Amino acid sequence: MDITTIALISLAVILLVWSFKKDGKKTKKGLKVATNMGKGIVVEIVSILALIGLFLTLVPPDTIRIILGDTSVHIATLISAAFGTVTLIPAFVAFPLASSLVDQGAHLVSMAAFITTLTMVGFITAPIEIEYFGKRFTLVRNVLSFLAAIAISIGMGLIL
Amino acid sequence: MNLGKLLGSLKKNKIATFTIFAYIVVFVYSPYLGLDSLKMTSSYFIEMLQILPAVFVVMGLVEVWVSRDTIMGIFGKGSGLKGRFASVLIGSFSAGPIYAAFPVCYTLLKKGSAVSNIVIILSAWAVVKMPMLIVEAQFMGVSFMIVRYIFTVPAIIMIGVITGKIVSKENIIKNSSKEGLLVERIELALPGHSCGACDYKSCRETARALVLEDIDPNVCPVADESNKKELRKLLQGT
Repeated sequence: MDITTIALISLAVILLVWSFKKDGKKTKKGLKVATNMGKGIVVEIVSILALIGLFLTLVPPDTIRIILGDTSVHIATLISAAFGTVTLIPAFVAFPLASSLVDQGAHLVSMAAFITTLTMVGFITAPIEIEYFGKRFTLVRNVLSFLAAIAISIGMGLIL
Repeated sequence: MNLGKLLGSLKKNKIATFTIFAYIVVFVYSPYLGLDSLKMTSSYFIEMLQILPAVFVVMGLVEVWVSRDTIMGIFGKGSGLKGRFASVLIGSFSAGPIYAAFPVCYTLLKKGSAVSNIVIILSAWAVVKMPMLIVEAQFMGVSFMIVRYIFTVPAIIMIGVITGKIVSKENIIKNSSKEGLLVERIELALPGHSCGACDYKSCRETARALVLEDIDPNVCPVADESNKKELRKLLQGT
């Protein structure tokens, strides 16, 4: 468990205790809101997680490494961005992968695109996003984020 | 369970249905691959269990304790640069993948945050949160991390501002399938003059009473036929 997760859980516990001391009735209402929030989305999230697990088993990071190995920077950037778009990998997996790719000759520019799209653009989480915010919002946000990821990686290429 | 009901629940849980189907195909093709996938999934599942309950509890408490005015002051339309900064900050000190940010942003939006700031929180949550930056510096080097940060923060603010221009809050409220937005949806269905003819101070108050206090659906004397039709449709859903 990383530090922010611990901080988050402690925050929840502290707020809960404080809230109960101040107003038990209100707190119960808040907890009801919380359970409703969870009930409304838990099936979707578990399904999506299972899909990500499936995807990463069928297309393991090693395969990505092989695909990215021989291509030019531009193509590799696009492939990285596309791969990052489809999947969602936790940072502690993504960064070791990116760094091993760099060791094997991948360009930093493509890695910046990879990391940014990986975390910000989510094809696979889009159904959840649509559930909360609708199709238009989800489409606009993801397309803009994808473009921004490419722009960020180009900008980084100029500096690094 | 009859067939119609079964089909109905399959339709409602489209993603779950699809996932189960995909797993059946993989398991038939190769049980090993299927088991590996499940193993991979379980590690994500544990991460989810650590984060989501806490996120929901915090947001549930925000829902009952923090007033709409407060959220509007911090993240609302007129919050300006301070709102942008606060949004980047709240995203930076977050935990968990982007799907944990959806319920947070949803609550804030409901409480009066601007669309642009929601997008900034979502993006910052995804790409520049603290634990991520630390891991990034370890693996990619400090300069990579800093340069990416410097490029990314202005970029996500831009994404937020542009999204806020293209997608209106009304659009999100109408298209969200979450019930919590019912008050907002009903407010939109009312004529919106906040005239006070119904004895409530504003259309928002009226909408709230319609949802929570079970008052007469024809409370609004100035509603026209299309308003009434929309109201009936929304209130039947409860």
